[in-house]
Amino acid sequence: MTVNVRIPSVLRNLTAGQETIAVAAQTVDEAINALEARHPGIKARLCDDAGKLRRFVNVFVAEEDIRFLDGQRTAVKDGDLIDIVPAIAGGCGRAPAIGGAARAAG
Amino acid sequence: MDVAAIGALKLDLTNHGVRLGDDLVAGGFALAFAGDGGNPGAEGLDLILPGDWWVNVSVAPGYARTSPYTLTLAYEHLVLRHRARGDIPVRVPDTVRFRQMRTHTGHSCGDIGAVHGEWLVVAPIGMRDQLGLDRPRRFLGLPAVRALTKTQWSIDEVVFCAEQAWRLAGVRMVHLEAGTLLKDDGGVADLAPYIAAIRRALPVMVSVTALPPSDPTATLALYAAGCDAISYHLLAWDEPAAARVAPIRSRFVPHERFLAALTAAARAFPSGAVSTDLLLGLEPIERAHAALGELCRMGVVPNCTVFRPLAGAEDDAPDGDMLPTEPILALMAERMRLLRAHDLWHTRVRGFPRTLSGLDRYRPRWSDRWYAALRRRWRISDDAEAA
Repeated sequence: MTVNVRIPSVLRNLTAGQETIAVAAQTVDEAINALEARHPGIKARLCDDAGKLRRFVNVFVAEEDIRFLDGQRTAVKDGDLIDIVPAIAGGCGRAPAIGGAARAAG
Repeated sequence: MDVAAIGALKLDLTNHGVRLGDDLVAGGFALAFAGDGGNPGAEGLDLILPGDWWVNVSVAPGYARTSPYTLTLAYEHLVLRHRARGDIPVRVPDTVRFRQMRTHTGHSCGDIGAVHGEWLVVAPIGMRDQLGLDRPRRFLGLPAVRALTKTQWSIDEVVFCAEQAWRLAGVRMVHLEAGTLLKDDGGVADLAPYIAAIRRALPVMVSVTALPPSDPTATLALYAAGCDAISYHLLAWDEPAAARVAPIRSRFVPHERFLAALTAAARAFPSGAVSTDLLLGLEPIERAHAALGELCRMGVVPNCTVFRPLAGAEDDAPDGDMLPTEPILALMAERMRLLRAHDLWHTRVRGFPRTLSGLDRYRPRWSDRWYAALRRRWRISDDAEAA
């Protein structure tokens, strides 16, 4: 079955800018592995060396946090949306935004 | 911790940044900081200090490598670890629900806007005319490549995002950013329909940061459209210093245009609702002291910004001199004294204090909105009669 995985903006450099990627999977784990097969490097950002989802990475299936379901073994249905959301909001730690004026400054 | 100690801690954190502990890095804490960022308002990490004080800090490894503060976990709780001060308990805001929400076009709210405390920051106007800058510049908010491809969010998308921020994250101020070099009005006219739509939909207040319009009366039009607070950022008090970090902007928008727009804005907007940013380190700190006095006399709130590098530029030598925290503390104390002396302190309706404003905490209340609406009605009808 096919599910759609939403990629957070901070990882879209690994997916050639793609925001949503359709993969064939029956569980969240399979979906992550399928993502990795197509976009190498993405799994390492989401999971540790043992393949376990990192603590500050949230994954939702149909808006439910998988930590409250079956974790990475959570089953997915055809057409489900898997949403990857970093727990922490932020940017790349660069300059404090100083407004459009500054952005236009160059 | 008393207020003075928290204020000093805020300044120190802003100045030095924070190193992320190995435990947090392993946990994927740094994921949000690893790429090109989500949206223009999402820079840095918001921390909530004891007493519910907020600070936005850099966690860029290059910038924070000498920081005495490390963010780590102690007994499952986040703490700032400092050799002399021990562990300071901190929290990070939870904005996951907000960032998850999606518009009818499928874009997530986290891509459209960034929530910082009671502020939602959105840059709704595409920045497509940034003159093809091909490298990130220190002090600037956006790498140029992204600026060139920046999506223009529709009014519906921005209003939806603001609704979710209001409903899920307690946002009370929506801060819009625009900066268009190739338009005489700096892009402020493009923001008017966004402001009107947001105000129609939600009981929030709206602030704007933009390039100054060449016709200062355009600022009055922005106020009439419903903007509650405005920022035009000088960057430095002396034009050559500003030109060092913003050469192209300086070529298109002379310093005098900033000063004229700020003066016009200070006449139209409520006391304390007009602000500008000064980057500390670009010019001798005596010039920053002089700027504080002059700006306050003009009725403009000066915000003092600590340098932070762009990603990828962390190891570059800074254009200006990095300042230790102590002179900044003295500068901020002087700023506070001047703001009070010039009666610029009483309003809580200000532009987004993303920059270093060590002891500032703005909390717009319902009464502020009511007063703002009353004042606008009174001022605009007065001006119309005068015309």
